[in-house]
Amino acid sequence: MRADLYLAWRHQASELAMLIGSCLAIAALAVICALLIEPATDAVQACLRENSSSFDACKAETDFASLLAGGAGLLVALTGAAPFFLGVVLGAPLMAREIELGTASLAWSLNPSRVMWLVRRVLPVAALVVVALLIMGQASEAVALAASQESALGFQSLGTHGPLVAVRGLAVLTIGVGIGLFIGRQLPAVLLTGAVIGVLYIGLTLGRDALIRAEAVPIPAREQTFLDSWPVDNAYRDDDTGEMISMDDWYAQNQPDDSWTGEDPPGVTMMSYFVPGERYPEFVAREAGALAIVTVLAGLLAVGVIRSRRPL
Amino acid sequence: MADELVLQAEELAKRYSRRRAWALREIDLAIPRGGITALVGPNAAGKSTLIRSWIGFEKPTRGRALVCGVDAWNHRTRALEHVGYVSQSPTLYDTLSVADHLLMAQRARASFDRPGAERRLDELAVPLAAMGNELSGGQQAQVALALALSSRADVLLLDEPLASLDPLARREFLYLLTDAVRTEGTTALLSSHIVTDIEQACDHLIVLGVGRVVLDLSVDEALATHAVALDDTSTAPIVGGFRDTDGSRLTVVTAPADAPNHRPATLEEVMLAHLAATRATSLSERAA
Repeated sequence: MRADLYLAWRHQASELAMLIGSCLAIAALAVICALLIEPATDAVQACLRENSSSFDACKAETDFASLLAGGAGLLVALTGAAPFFLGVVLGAPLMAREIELGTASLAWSLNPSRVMWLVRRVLPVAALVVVALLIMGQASEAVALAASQESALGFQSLGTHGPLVAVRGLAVLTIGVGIGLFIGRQLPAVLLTGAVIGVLYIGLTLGRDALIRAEAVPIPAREQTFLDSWPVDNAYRDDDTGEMISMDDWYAQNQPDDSWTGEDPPGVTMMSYFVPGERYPEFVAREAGALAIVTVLAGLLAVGVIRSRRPL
Repeated sequence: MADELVLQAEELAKRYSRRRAWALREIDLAIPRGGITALVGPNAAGKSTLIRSWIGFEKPTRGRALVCGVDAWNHRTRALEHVGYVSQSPTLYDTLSVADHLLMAQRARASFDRPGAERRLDELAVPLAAMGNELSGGQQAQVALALALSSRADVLLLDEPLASLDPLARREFLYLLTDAVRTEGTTALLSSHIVTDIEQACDHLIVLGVGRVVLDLSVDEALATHAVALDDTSTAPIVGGFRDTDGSRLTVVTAPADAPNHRPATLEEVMLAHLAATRATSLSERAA
């Protein structure tokens, strides 16, 4: 394995150094940002306590805290995009280059088993990508937690932190490898992988939204927290009977005046349909499971293609 | 053991698409263990397709290509364990050094003789630290041959590896090849257009034309059974005719080399006659 890792590095040293290095740099910045956010917030609060009469006196502290908050948002967003970028840029050309440049002829004549060669060629790169994304995901979680000042993260930051980032990266990389093998040319393989991943991402998002819509339960709107999913519908609950009344029906029946007081109307409670935050890990596990299936299918596709592929 | 067949083609036919002509037309061949066989033929005769069928790169449309009795397409992994291959224009990895290529080959095959490869490359003054893209075409071919030879394969398939080499590099390449065949009992199939190289190194000759085998003889047999007609009185079957460098027309016939009114044909003349004949066949088939 050490020799394979060494050869993988020699094959793609510049790309790996640049991309994995960027991931680790983003992770390092996220950790630094996470460490600075709490003291910066404390400094703002302390300053405001001391200078309650003058907000301007705390401008330096509030500017720094805002900078950190903005930076945290950017780092979390970069972490969310990293698996797609890394998977496409490293995965698609990995095999396409071998076929396009003709080195596959040499490699496939030396290796009795093409499948073993594929595994030896892809596994070290996949391992590096997974490790880099795991580190990135953990760092992103740390900075997102610090920025939100919550004890846990929920639906609002799905896919931008934790091990799911690495699972996504592995799936995209495997799809890229399969497409690269099939197409056999680098640029078209990168473009097609990007398009396929775009479609997959839209599908994944629509599927997740449909799942949330299907599994959302009515909970008093005032009880919704940062961890819960976004509300998919609202309704009034009759406090006496417990019956749920749609907003449209309730307005048609009661014709209230336009002055909204912020309080629920008498006798009813505003309910929101959403998935409670405690079910977030279950949704992450489901997405990871779906992506694992996609990864296995893409891997099988790559094996099928390499067995019948003609080298140049 | 000596008669054991290492390369066989059984009614092997290949067509790349329905719109294209057959690259190979039901070829039957059997190459025994040991020695160097030359595979000769004009462009598009199907030489590369035949070699690539034995390395498992081409799926036969019909028939089978066997290596040491193993179907090269259906059981490629087992078949490839017996084969070393040097392609028409060997492409090394630009980003790997020669030493890295040897490491790669070592990872690919447990039997790979890395010290042997290093020794061979050292003899040829190919620097192990040089990157693939720093080597000349000749050096790249030498590295590819060293990789193939050191894989300790039973059979070496060499697809016109000499074409891009200068005379000295060709000589060194052939020295490595003949040395390996002599000392290690390897069998080699060498596709080449360069007749002098074939004369020096090969002991068997296969001429391929328009996807068919037109000659399959030992070099000694080929020389003994072909002659150049010295006048028009020859009644021996004509193999083919071609214009010599001085403009005169030479006709090669199937006759004992010492037949009256004939002179012994050189190997180059035998091959040129067969190539001319296959070209004529090809043209008439195209016209038809």
